[in-house]
Amino acid sequence: MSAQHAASSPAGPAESGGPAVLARDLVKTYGSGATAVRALDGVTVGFGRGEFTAIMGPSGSGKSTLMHCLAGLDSATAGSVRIGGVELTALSDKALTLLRRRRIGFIFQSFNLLPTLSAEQNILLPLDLAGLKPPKQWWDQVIGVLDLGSRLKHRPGELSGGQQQRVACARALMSRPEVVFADEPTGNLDSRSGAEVLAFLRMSVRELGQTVVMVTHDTTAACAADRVVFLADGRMRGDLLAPTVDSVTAQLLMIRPERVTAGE
Amino acid sequence: MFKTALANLRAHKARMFLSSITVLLGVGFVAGTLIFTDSIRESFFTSFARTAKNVDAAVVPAKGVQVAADDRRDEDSFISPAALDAVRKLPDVASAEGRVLGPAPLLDPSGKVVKQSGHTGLGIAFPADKSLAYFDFSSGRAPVAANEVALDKITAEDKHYALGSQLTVVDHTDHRRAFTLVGVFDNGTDQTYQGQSVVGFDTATALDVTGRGGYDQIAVRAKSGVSQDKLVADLKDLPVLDGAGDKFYTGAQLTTELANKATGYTDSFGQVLLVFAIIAALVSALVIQNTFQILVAQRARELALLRCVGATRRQVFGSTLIEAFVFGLLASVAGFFAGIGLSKGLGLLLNSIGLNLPTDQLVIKPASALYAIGLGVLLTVGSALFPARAATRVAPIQALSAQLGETRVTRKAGRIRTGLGLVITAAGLGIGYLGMQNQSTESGFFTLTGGACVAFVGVLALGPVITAPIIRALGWLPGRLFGPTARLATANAGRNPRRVAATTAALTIGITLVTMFTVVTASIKDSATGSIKKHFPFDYQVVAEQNRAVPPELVAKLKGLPELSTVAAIYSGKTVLNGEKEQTSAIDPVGYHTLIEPVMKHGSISDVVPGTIALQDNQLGSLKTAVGESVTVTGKNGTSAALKVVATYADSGIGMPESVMAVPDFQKLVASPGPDTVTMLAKSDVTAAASRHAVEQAVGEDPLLSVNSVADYKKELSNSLDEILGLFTGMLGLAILIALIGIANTLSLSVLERTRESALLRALGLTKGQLRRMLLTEAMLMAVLGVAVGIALGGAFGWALVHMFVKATGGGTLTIPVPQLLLYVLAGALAGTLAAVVPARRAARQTVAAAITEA
Repeated sequence: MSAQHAASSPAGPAESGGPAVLARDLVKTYGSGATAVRALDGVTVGFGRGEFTAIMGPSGSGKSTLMHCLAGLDSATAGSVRIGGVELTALSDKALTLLRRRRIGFIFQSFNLLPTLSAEQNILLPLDLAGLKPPKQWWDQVIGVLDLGSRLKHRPGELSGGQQQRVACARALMSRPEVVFADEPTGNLDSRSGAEVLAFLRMSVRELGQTVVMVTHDTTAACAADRVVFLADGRMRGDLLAPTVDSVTAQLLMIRPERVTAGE
Repeated sequence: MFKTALANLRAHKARMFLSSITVLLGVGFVAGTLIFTDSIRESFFTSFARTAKNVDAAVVPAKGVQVAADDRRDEDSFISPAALDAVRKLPDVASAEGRVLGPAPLLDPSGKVVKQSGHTGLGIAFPADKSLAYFDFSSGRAPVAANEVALDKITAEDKHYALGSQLTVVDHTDHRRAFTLVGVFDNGTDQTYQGQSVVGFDTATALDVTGRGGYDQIAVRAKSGVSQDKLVADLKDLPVLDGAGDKFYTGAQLTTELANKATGYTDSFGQVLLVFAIIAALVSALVIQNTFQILVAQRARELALLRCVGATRRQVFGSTLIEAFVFGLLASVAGFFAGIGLSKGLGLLLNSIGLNLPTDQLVIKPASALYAIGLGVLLTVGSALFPARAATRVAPIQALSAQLGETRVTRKAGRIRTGLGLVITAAGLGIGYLGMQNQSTESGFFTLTGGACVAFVGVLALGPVITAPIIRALGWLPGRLFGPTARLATANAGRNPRRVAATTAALTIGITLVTMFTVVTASIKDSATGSIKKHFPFDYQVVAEQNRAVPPELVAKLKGLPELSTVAAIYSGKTVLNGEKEQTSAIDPVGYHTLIEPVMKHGSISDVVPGTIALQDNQLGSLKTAVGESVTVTGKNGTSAALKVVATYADSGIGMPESVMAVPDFQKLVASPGPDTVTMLAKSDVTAAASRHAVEQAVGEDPLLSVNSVADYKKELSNSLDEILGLFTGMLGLAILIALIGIANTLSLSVLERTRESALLRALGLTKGQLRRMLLTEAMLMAVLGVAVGIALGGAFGWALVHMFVKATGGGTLTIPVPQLLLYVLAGALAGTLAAVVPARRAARQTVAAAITEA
């Protein structure tokens, strides 16, 4: 079974270069005692360099928690997370913050941009906080690909939803991070803008060698990825390479019945 | 909807907490002032009323009942001892006593005169009829013989006098007289004596020591069965009292009269206090208004949901107002109780600068509670009106939109607001300009103040327009120094100009007033010292105690000192010119142009020779006279003379009395024991030490004379001005504190609504420390904005005031104490930063993952 395969082969297909992100026996518990909830229950998963992976699962499966733990936004209760060889669980809050600033890019579902800053200032924010500037050529390339040249002086309030997500993409890539985490990046967009964002993410992986990890519950979005890992009740429940709408739907259906029976 | 309102209050307890403190403080100040004034009035009345105890009728000279020693100082109308004898012979009179109050300086065991706040002691008469005595004895008895005295308890304890001690009192002829202490009495907080030492004699000795020509009051006790009205009628029939203009009171009338006096004493400063209290209350209203505005914005979704499920606009409006009402009522009641404590604090503050107010009673009237709580509720509900109206504008559909309204950057202020603000500001400046052109300082002051208030309102209206550019300018330096965090802070501070303008306006009010007082007092200080140098130059002055003179022998001795170049005696007193009571003075002609050089408007000061007079030019109108005409001086003992006005001079603020006459005329016409001051210049080739030594040697060890140098004088003036500035600043301190709480409040509410934004920043690599620093910088920028605008406005107002006075009086200079004002900016920046410590810490504690997913 593919679920078994995922557990036994954590590094995934891109094993050759060593994984960009690697989680081992990750446990996250909220609350304590009788009311404790295990949001992550021993997750072991790896994300290869230059790979575009989608994390899927029903609501409450723990996929957002997994992403937060992988990205150093939340601390795991047990287990280990490594990004480019750095063990996150051993880092202080400050060191984690600096790691996020330099080695991780983020794209969120909504509320991605600071309303007080212009698009340009938003894109430069992580580098600005680190006291750095992007190389001119890289800047031109990213802005050009995302077609943001004419929008740089605008505030987020003056941009459409798709444009805002493109600004977020530019920000995520500008610091050439180890990995980009995208949390439902198309969730708030119409299908056309959503497709644009996905196409851009794919392109950044293909042409720029970027590693992208995307949380989504949209089957179409997941099919844009090279690989889909499935999560349910805080556990790995499957791993698909070269996903199609049919194979993803089938896998999701395999996870669901359990919950339905539990509910009935 | 009432339930919804209450539920809202309960749910937002933490958010409402800081705003409730501002209401509490504002209401507390108002309540404290009311309670304090009532308490003092009551204390005064109790002590005044003590003098009316057992009195069935009283006769006082034409001036009426005078309760304070200060009022009586220059009076020379008395009731003659013969009248007292006549009263005593009346068949309805059980007893009658003459009351005496006059100067009776007490010397302490080391031979120095006992002084309280610069005043030497007083003497009173203890009557033979003990039921008509002023005070109760805490030990011993009333003096009955010429060598016996009683002393007030505080002085006795202070100087360690016990019954049987020998006391020395200086009588009006400057002779030291020894007495034996036979009684100690408790005069409590009696304002009559303002903390001065009080020595009690028997009636005859009291007249003898104080040199008074008669009694200040005759207190009469009726035989039983005789009504107070009958007794007064009897007294009025006495020929010796009739026609002299004496006033008659029944015991009841006397009590009423004293109550009125007590009210008169408290009302003036009670009103000043109330002005400051109302400023504080208005500032808190600004803060509350802002709070409700923010709460409504944050609750847009909730309100929209209410509208979705069927609440009408009216219900939403009503619910917000009910919430404000309940909140205002709770905070105001708490504020009222805080006011009780605050009233004690006010007493301590005012007494610390030597006002000597009695603080032993605490009078809490229902009216005080009603006014203070009523004001608090009214202000709160009034402040909630606009936010409540804004709440009704929330459309039901907003309940469904994901984008929260409050995270948007608000649009720029409307054109109407800008136009209106500009028009009001311009109008205020225009009125102020007219005020500055005014020749009369009084009407000029009121016009100018009115203009300043109007201009202030205009600037407040312009607030949202000017806030953003000022914040950008202020943020430039921190942006340079601290990089991206400071730039983020600047962007945040400027993102909602209306909110920031409202928040900082509260601070601006307090700082404007403090700056104005600072500029005015600094200018007075410099002008006064400049004016001394220019118009009243002296090196030393020998000054006699009140009601005393510098002895003629000493004047002669000083005039003979080789170390001094010019020595002149100055006489001053009160007289009546053309029916108006005026201050007057005279100086030895040798002092003209050397020791006195007023700003002349007409003629020269040396034109003043016997038969002539010089007047302050603004007195010409009130005396209905002109240069070249004569004024009638009604002098002592019914004498009168016509003096020709030969010169006029400007009212330069200090030093110059309303009129100057020649010494011989003064001695003939004005009641005065002699020169009260001798002013002198040292020779230029004599060292300061040598000349001072010579003067001090000549004066010797006389306890009733003091030697001042010009430096002493400047220091004294500077101290008293600093004290006044300190008092005003203290009074405004509460308003400033409220405004700072307002900043903390706005920032915590902003932090709450920016939770996700902060989380995003943290995700993108802002450290906890940077987040804290960003919020602290934002608060600092807000505080500095408020302080800077306040300093600009207050400085301009102070400048205009000083300019007007300089123009009207022809003397004085404007001084802008730049270092002190810069200090205010620094203090404001620091206070603003401190105000943000708690909200900033709270923001930094938030875990990123939880906040970022929060809808």
